[in-house]
Order: sequence, then structure tokens, then C-alpha cells
Amino acid sequence: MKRAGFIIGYAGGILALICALLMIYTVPTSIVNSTVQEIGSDLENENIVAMGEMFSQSHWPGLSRGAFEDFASQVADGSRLPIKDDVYQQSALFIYRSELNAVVSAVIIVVSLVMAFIAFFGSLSVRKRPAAGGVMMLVSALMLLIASIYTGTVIPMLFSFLLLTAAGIVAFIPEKNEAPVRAGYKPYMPLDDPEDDITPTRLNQKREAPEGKIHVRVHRDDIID
Amino acid sequence: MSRGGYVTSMVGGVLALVFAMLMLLTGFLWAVGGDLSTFFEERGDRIGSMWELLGRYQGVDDFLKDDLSEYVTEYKAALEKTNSEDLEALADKYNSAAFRDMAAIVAKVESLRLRLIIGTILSVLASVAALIGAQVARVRQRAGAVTVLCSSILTLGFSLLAGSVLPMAAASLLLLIGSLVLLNRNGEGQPEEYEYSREVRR
Repeated sequence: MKRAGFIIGYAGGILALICALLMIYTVPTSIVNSTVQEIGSDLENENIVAMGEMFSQSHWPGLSRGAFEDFASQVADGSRLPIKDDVYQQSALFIYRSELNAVVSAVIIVVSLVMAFIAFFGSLSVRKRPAAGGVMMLVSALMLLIASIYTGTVIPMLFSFLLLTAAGIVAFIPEKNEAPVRAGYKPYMPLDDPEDDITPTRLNQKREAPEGKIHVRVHRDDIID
Repeated sequence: MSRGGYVTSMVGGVLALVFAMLMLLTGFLWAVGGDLSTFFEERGDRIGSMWELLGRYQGVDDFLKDDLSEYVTEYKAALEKTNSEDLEALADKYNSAAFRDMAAIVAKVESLRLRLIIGTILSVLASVAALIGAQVARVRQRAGAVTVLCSSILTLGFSLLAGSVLPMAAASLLLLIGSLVLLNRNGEGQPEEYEYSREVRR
């Protein structure tokens, strides 16, 4: 069971690493595509002109809605173009949303990478510490699934999620106890090897009784047999 | 089992996987990163006019003459079908050094693209093989060591193919050291499971 958990977890850990590293390419590409699509569907030509004026400013606001709204008001006040203030506000909010999306996605990519490494090391530790390794794999699998759902890359991550979850569950299944030995059954022992004096064999066992089984009988008159 | 060889191989394998996945980025940067930064430094002020001329060349109406959604759709399609030959033609038409520089960069990317994709995929496979080899070495030391050794050579070769050899060289070196340590200890140590069974018997 331990071996199966290790193999499934190891495969899932490697796949999780690959998928998390793949996010470095897929997430920015999807952000650019969705932003271009939104520009085409949500904005007008005036918004683009307003954005051009905002980008030409020397200072740039911090990542907060209020700061972007103030920035839009300042640019609108100083502008000589025949564009309404609402258009500046709308453009500023669009830039704010895009910037926020980019920052959140970057954080999610970093978290996914960390989780993938945790899953990988969890699969390595599952042999010696099954409970710890199982928890590491289950938690990271869940986090990776959430991250991939948010970034829209759930298809490649799904397989590694399933493998890691399976390995995490397997890690918690207790090992089977050894089957009880039937009465009168003598386990197999190899024949005596003259060069190997460590491995217990039939003859070695007869020749050298273990320390724990040396019987010492003590008589009342303190004479040792 | 040699613990040092195993750990070195594992670290090398993980690094190889990371660098292999980043190879699309690093290969691109190694190939055209310097040219791109020089282009934006020297010709940054020409980008607006280049954008406009490229749109006209591909038959896209000028900005503000058309609806924005149509402009975005048409310009996206125009960018997708533009290649280095189109940029060369524009450079000749307008006698523009900026278009000529951009054409050289795009031509470099076009020649690298196939090698980069193939090199990246094969490097990822080789680094996964290295990670599997490191685990195999716990049970079958010689077989695992040979797998790691082959993977180190392959990752280096494929990174050369992709044109991004420097980061991968460090990972390949670790894999090489790990495999050599594993091979060197082959006669001395025994696989972990054998040692475990001996301990149980004792």
C-alpha cells in the first residue's frame, strides 16, 4: 500500500510541477486574450484615447479603486480633449481591473508552484511519514485545483489532482498486519552460509543462541549451573 | 544505496524539470532578448507609426475610422498573419530601419520556434526520466544510475538544441555527479530494501 501511494503520489507530484510551471505561459496568454476581447466588446474608441492620455502621464496610481478614480479625475481635469469625465472613469476602472487580475494571477502562479513542490516532497516523504505525506499531498492537491479553476487551466491540472488525491487517501490506509502463523508451521530459513555469519540460518541459530534466550538457573546455594 | 548520490540526482532532476519548463522563456530571451531591448531603446518612438503602417499594409482601417470591436478583431488577425517577409516588404516600401530591425528579430524567432518547442518537450521528458531513475536507484542502483547518467547527457543535448544551455548545464552537472556517485558506490552498498530485510532478520 505504501509503495502504491508513493508511486501514485510521485507521478502526481511530477505532473503537478509540470502543470504549475505551464501556468507561467498559459495564464498570461489567457489574460492578454481576455483583455483584448473585453477591449473589443466593452470599450469604445473614446476609451482608448482616454487610456492613451492616462498612459502618457508621468505618475501612476497604486493598486486601489479609489486611487484610480482620483487619477482619472485628475487626467480629465487637465485634458483638452472633448471626452466626458465618465469615459475617463470607465477607462481607469478597466485598467484597474486588468492590473488587479494580473497581480492576483501572478500570486496564484507563485502559490501553485509552492504547492506543487509541497506535493512533490509529500510524495517523497510518504514512505517514512505516511500521515504527513498524505496531508501534504491532499492539501496541495486541493489548492492546486482551486488555483487552476480560478486561472481557467483546470484540464491539465485535473489529472495531477486525481493522482495526488488518490495517493493522499492511500497514505491514510493502515498497513495490513502480518498473517498469524499456524501452530506447528516452521518458517523457511536459508541453509548455513560459511561466509555470512550475520544472517540467521538453521545451523547458526543452533550454534549461537541469542542473548535473550540464555537460560541461567540459580540454585538456592548460589551455585550456577 | 548511496544517499548522497540519490539526493544529488533528485535535486538535479527537479532543477532540470524546472529549467526545461522555463526553456521556452529562457530560449526566447537568449535568442532575441538583447535585440528586443535595443529595439525598444532606439526605436521606441517609432512604434506608434509602425503600428499604423502595418495595419494599412494588412488592409485594416485606421484607428477611429471604424468601430473598435471590428478594429480589434481585424488587427488581431493582421498581427497573426504578419511574418518577417511582410516586415521586410514594409521596410523596403517605407525605407524604414525600424521595420528592418523588427523583421530581423521576427526572422530569428521564426527560425528558433520549432527547435525551441521540440527541445523543450524532449528536455521535460529527459528530466522526468532522471527523476524516475533516481527513484529506481533505491532498488536497482546500477540501472537507476545509468538512467540518470543518460538523462543528464540528454537534457544537456536538448537544451543545446533549444539554444538555452546555461541554466540547464547546472542541472545536468548535478545529475552527472549524482549518477557517478551512484555508479561508484554500486559495489560497496546494497539496495535499501535488501538492507531493510537484513535488519528485520537481525
